[in-house]
Amino acid sequence: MKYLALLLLFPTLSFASMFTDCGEYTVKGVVRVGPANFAIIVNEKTQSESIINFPITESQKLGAYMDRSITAVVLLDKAFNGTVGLSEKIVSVTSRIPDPLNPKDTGFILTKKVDCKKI
Amino acid sequence: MNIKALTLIIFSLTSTNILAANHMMIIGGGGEPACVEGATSGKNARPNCEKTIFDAPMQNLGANLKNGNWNYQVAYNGGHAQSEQILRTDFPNPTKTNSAFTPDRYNQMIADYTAKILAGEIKSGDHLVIIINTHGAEETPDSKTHLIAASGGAMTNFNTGKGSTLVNLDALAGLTKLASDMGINMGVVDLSCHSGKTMSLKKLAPNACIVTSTGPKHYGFSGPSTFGASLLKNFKAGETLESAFLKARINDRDPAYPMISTDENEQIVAEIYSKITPYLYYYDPEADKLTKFMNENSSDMIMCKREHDFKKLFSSINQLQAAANGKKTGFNGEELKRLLTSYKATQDQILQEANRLGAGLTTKKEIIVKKIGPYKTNVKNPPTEFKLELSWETILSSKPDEIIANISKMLNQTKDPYEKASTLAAIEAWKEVKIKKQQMVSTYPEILTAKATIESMTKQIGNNFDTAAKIAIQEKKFYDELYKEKQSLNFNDPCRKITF
Repeated sequence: MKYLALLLLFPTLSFASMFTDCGEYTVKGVVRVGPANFAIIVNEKTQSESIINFPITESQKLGAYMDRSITAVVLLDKAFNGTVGLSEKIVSVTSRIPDPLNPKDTGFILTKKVDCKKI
Repeated sequence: MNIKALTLIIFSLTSTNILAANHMMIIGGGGEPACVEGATSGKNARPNCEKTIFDAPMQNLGANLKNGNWNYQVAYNGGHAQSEQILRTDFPNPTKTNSAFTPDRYNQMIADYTAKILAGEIKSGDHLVIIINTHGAEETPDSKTHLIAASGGAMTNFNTGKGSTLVNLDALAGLTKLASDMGINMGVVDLSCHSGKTMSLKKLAPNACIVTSTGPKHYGFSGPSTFGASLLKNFKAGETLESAFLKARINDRDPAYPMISTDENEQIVAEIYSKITPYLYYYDPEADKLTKFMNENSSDMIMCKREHDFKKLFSSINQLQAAANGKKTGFNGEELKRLLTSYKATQDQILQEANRLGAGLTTKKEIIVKKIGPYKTNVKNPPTEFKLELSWETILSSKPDEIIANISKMLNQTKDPYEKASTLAAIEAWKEVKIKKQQMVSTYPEILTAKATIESMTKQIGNNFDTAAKIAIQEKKFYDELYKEKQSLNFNDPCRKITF
């Protein structure tokens, strides 16, 4: 199977300032199923929606959380412009109860920097 | 005051180098609600929003610093008018301008004091005490200490710290260790919720004294009549950090568990803390630990341990009482035992129902491993196993049939032999999950609604803060007596070398 194409990193994009660093990110979003894999959608149905795809085998770890809000630690070690990206590794994933006072408390937090892999 | 304590204080004071300099780093006031224009009542309306719950302890500290010879820096609050006024009137002579407690200022202060030590401006024999007077969150796996609230954002969840801007007390580790290594009389006083986690700094800095307003698994309290306010009020000439702590602790009336990094406290905590922990919990919808405790501590093994721990706790109380027999101010543990017995019975009713429903099993983990293969691939060292590690709670809320159907569709999307083989392994794993889920529901028919049932039963107790507080008052007497019984004349304990 072909992985979804990576978008090039354009430093002038507003998201680029969030994702100039490769590393482990704590991600809050929701798991959705696509034709080829399970993916994490962050800021779903907003202008800042981001989709993180995974290799089919790795994405199976998300199966239990289909259509549920989750907090996951994922490795983003390839250039990611904040819209569609590919992660090779899910470090951990747990259910998350969205904050009723702040249902949009989704997003990315860099927890550990790593060197970016050359594409 | 007993002879032992008096001897310790006299020795500590006469041993102090009168030429030593005293330094204090004071941070806090974070996580409190800000004023909202137009609000006419509640925490966001004036005058409520112009102060913080940490103000009274700050005023006590400020009064003592005015009378002493301490060089201090303060980063406190931000955005509360009355709190800011306290800085102007009660902390008039800082070595650097008072400021709000922001993450940048926090890091700057740590760097500043580190530089002072390295430059010899703070040296062996001097005092350096850090006061942390703010909200604090529970421990997290990636912190040795815990997170506390800085200025900016009101805390909405008093367990996780959510809502506030959080900084990590792990950042104090380097400074604390450096001071400890350089022979500086280092003290860290953490008055926040869950502050017992800050005791972990002691491992890095054995020559430091750590004082916390509560244990790692409990809330702390702030206000005019709390442990923190009393402790800071006790920072007077003639007191050591230990004596100030003991005086504040015996008079504390809140269901918290103040700690200090002396050998005596370490022995008591090892013997008592985990056993008394459940009985200092109470139901409060805005700050609740009791419900989670009920849901997570009802398995057969934990219930058995609970009974064993309760007997050991009573044995400790009885031993102390027997040792006190015949003494004029002998300890009497009967009221503590009565209160504990009564509250345990209330909790047991809910725990037994939770046990019957299987509520405590929801955190149990299942690991399912399926071999991947055989397949042809050019990839070096390809994975040979597909592993699912899921809690019972996740399994019970999952829909295995739907997941299997979705994964089966993915099978048709790939021609890669490895991906096909691993997808097949995933399907087999999920078939096993389906069987496990059926077994769980068959063994515990009400497990799917157990959590909600236990939450409802716990809620029916109502706000029983008073129950836990009455136990806490007796616990303070128990601890004090135990401490005196164990108290050594070790004059080199760091908590006896910090004097005011």
